[in-house]
Amino acid sequence: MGTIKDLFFSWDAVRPVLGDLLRGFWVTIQLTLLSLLFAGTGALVLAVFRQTRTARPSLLKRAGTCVMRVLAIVYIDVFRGLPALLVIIMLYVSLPFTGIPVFKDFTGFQVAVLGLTLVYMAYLAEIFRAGIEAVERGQVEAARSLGMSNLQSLRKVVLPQAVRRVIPPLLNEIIILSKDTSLAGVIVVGEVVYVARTSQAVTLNSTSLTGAAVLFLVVTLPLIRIVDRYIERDRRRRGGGRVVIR
Amino acid sequence: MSTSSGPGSVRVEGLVKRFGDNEVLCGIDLAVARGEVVCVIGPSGSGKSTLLRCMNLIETPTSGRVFIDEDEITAPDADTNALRSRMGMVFQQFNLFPHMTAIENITVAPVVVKKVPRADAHARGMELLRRVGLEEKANENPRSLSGGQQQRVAIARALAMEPEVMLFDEATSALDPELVGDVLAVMRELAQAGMTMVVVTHEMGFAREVCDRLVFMDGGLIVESGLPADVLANPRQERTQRFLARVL
Ligand SMILES: Nc1ncnc2c1ncn2[C@@H]1O[C@H](COP(=O)(O)OP(=O)(O)O)[C@@H](O)[C@H]1O
Ligand SMILES: [Mg+2]
Repeated sequence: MGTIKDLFFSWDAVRPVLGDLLRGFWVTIQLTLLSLLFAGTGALVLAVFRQTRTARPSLLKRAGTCVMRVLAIVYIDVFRGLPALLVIIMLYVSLPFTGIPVFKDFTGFQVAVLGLTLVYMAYLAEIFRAGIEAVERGQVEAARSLGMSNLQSLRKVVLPQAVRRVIPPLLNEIIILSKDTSLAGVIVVGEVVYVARTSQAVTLNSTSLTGAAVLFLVVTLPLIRIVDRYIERDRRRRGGGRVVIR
Repeated sequence: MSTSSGPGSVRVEGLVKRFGDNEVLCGIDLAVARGEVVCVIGPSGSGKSTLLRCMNLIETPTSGRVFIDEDEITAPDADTNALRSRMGMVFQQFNLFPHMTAIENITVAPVVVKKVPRADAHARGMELLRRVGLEEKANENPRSLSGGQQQRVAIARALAMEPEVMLFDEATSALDPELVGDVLAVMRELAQAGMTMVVVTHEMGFAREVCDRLVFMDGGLIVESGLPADVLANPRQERTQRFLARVL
């Protein structure tokens, strides 16, 4: 039994696996960015469907948007309510037997991206929706009164304003997503936590885990600071402040 | 009203608007001729805003029809966006786009909706800013403008679409008293230039001097309408008398 220092902070123990760790971390980053890209795109569409209401007299159009809204709500609620781990495992064990072209041949990495995308699409859609709904009603009314279509007012007026409000919660969610990529380890995807754990089991030294932790913090800490900065700036702009009353 | 149709006229027929069980407009008929300026007065909650908002379909009427010239904006197959762009609307709260400068607020709709080349839209926008006396504020953000300046930019923004009709919903009610005059001056100039206007207002002086016809609304109905001097001096309906006694 070594001391804590030998167990968690041994340079000699980590040196041989350093390359593996960095490769694992690269996988982690890829998982994060790809899931973010797909989930973000899907979430934007979901959020728009979720909050659209058509007041046009056309019954067909109204029924159409109603169906889209209900589908979006069901999707968002279901996937917000499921653990990402369960979704990833279910996809992993079932996709090969579905016979769906392309999907049945997915690698573990691709399954992990799909699982994270499905779940984070729901989370991000809620964040986008909150941003869209925070834009004052009068903004859309002004845009529409100028003759802009629903889509034009969304693009030119609503989304640019929603984006500003969405950045801090979005960064938060990216931080959480980057950490959730470690779930891919259960389906043997060589992301950094999986690599660190495997080498710990072989060398019986935990410094590889410390290495993984350091790699994560290198990315997440700056993000956390940025979120904080945004919140602070927003607070100041709204004239908020620490209230000190003696 | 011999000229109740023709370019620049609006007509409302049997307009009813309910929010749930609450009937806010109970059958409004109103024809505004080309170049006519109609002021709408009435107590708070009488449905003045709802009337204007139904006229350009920001609210969907429960029943009734709205025409601009001979085109029915309430028709099921109407090109709502195109018809809407023929009516400009000015809101009590200005509703300028905060992520754009004054000039961008004015050019965005012509560029996006009418596909006007950016340079042309800019030149025309600057001309409009000059007209409302704010040329030097072109590149300012709405946030840094006073309420009166914001409202004048909002008027310029609506005019940029070259509407045939302008709807004003209490355009000066959110302004500090000393800023009201500049906005009213712009509206007065517009009226003199021959714009068809429907103006919801509490400014009785403006109503008396500028408008061709004064309409008094109460409880979702047009109670009385006539020449402003007549309605203000000799209201025939008791409800009008009571209202005017309070505001004059
Ligand atoms: N979106 C809405 N939903 C429900 N009720 C509304 C809505 N807009 C207006 N109303 C109601 O309609 C009535 C008339 O409102 P409004 O047209 O704003 O009156 P005014 O502009 O004359 O003060 C009010 O009682 C108001 O509560
Ligand atoms: Mg009102």
